[in-house]
Amino acid sequence: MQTTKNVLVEIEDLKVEFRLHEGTVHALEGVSLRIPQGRTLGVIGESGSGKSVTAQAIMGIIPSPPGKIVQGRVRLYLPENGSERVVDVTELPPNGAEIRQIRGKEISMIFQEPMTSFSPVHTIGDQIMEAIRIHYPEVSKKEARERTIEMMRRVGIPRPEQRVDAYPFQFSGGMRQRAMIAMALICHPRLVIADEPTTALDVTIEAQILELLQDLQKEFGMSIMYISHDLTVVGGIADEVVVMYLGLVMEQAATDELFDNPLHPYTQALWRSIPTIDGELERLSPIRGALPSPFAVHKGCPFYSRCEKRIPGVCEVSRPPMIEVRPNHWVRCFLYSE
Amino acid sequence: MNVYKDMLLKVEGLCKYFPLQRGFLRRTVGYIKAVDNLSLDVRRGEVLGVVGESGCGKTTLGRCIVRVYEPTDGQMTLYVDGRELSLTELSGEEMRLFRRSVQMIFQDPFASLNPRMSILETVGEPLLVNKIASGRELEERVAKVIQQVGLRVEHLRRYPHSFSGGQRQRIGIARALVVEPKLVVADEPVSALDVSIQAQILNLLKDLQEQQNLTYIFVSHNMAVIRYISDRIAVMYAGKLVELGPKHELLTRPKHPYTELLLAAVPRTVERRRGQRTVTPGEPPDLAHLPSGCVFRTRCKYAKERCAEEEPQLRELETGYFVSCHFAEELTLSGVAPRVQSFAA
Repeated sequence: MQTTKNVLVEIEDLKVEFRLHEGTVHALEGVSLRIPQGRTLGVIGESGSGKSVTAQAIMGIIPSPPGKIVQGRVRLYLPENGSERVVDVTELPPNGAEIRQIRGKEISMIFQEPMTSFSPVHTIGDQIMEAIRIHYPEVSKKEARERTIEMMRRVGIPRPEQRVDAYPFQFSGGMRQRAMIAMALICHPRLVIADEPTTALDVTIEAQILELLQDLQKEFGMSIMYISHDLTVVGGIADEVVVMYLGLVMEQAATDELFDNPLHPYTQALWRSIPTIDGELERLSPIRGALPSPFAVHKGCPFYSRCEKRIPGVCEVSRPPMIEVRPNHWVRCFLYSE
Repeated sequence: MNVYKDMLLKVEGLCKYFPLQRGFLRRTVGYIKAVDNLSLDVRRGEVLGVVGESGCGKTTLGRCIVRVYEPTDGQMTLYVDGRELSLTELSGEEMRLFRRSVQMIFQDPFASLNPRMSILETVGEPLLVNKIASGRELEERVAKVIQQVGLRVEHLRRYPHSFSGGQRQRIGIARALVVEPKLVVADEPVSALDVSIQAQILNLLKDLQEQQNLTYIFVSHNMAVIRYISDRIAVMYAGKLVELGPKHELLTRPKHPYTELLLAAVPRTVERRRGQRTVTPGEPPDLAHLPSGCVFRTRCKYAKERCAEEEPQLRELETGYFVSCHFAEELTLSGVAPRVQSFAA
């Protein structure tokens, strides 16, 4: 789509299905997006939008079965010895040596619930340094421990020399999330995927974690894919935003552009439906109806049933293409086709 | 003016301590002061928003008021039907009046409905249990309330699994409202819902409140939601009420340093690019080991010696405006930029 250079990840027309007893869930229905190097891509979506499946596809961890990549490409452009190595994750065996060399080293992930993402029976330090031990076997145990302590200090864990031997239950929620960030960054990956990393945290702690991620990005230069249902949080951290709905990218633009000039009826409706701390205090305009069943098949626009601006006879008949309405501002809606 | 005329609930010195037990014999080694010496009034027809971070005691406060928890100490008085009910010593007959007057709406619409009960049974149960209605009358009242919350009569024979999250929350609201209560305690009623559904439920709660002159205690961690729904806001920190006042004043000119910190952390939408969200280090204290003096002093950038020595009491700074900070008069704190706060109804 865009002609941005310095792309780290390129997803092209990705379709993923989950074949369950009750039917087939079309989790991704042709998702295309790019994650630029050293920048933050925000992904906004409600449940069922496919935002987490997109992340799983990049990591090569879509549970299969029942999940299946039906079509599409997930290319990683990894700089290597002055040239560039291109890897298509969809072609790699999910537990093969090559993808395992990439996971944890080139790409890592921060999850929502830090309590369930740590093993309760290993120390925080052992879990953080595991990635070094796997990806850099030449590094001594002592050296790995020192790097771990240094990284724990960097993410703002007090007294890291002592806390390195603590267990996850001895950490508060905010500290566990810091430890998870340390674990994700210990090998200096090129991409960190953060899937709702602050949803379980209090707002004052959330602000701390977001600031930390931005500081670490300046320092290490990694790309961040920041996934959230919370528009205001994404607006505060992302350089560019994609809005997803039921397995499709509906709109994509630079953050300020997207917040100032939302074009897709879904994005506009979402903006009007959320209470804010500093906007006008007027009655909220809810989006009508409910999210369709995950088993539903949409021939046309998946937002058709809830859209205020739908064009009957057009929108439900065929799927709208992505259109560049303004420079680098893409919208999937027939309202903008000529 | 008679203070009792517009007062619905008076809470005085409410405490709820949970014992902290250790070892094989479950010896009590200390207490978690989930709510400590909390006093506030709830006025008839208002929405009182209770906001704070996890562990601040806001949920415990709500549960004490609906009598899910037995308070450790303190008085709660409910003024209904021209009577004064002391909530800590209810007789059998008073308990029935209390159950008709105070109801609760829960956070998780998936966990709070019994999957084996039809919607008619779920919503009708409070009428049956409290011997308010049965048979034909019960069905009629359930049918009426189910339409008020935006569902249809044909839904009554269905079971929770066939409803979406938003619809289930409507069912939870119908169950609370079917006994025609005076006071509804809503504990994070929209937090588990998808963004596009939250607005539907918030608007529904607001409409029902206005139509039926209900009083809400609306508990949430989400300041934007609290701002939208509340008339007055109570801010809690580590089991204490730190500030209570009218919404507009509290948001634009907070008087307690914790309120300032909390407001600064909320992401802005309008002023997003100007980097209005400020970050303060530190996290809430361990409730089992609270600092001496003011519970907030360990995170407070204005803290002085006196804050460690003397615990500030909640006091009325101006009429109807309560703060527990020694230096509330001297500090000039910043809140959210003022905007048009009036409601276009």
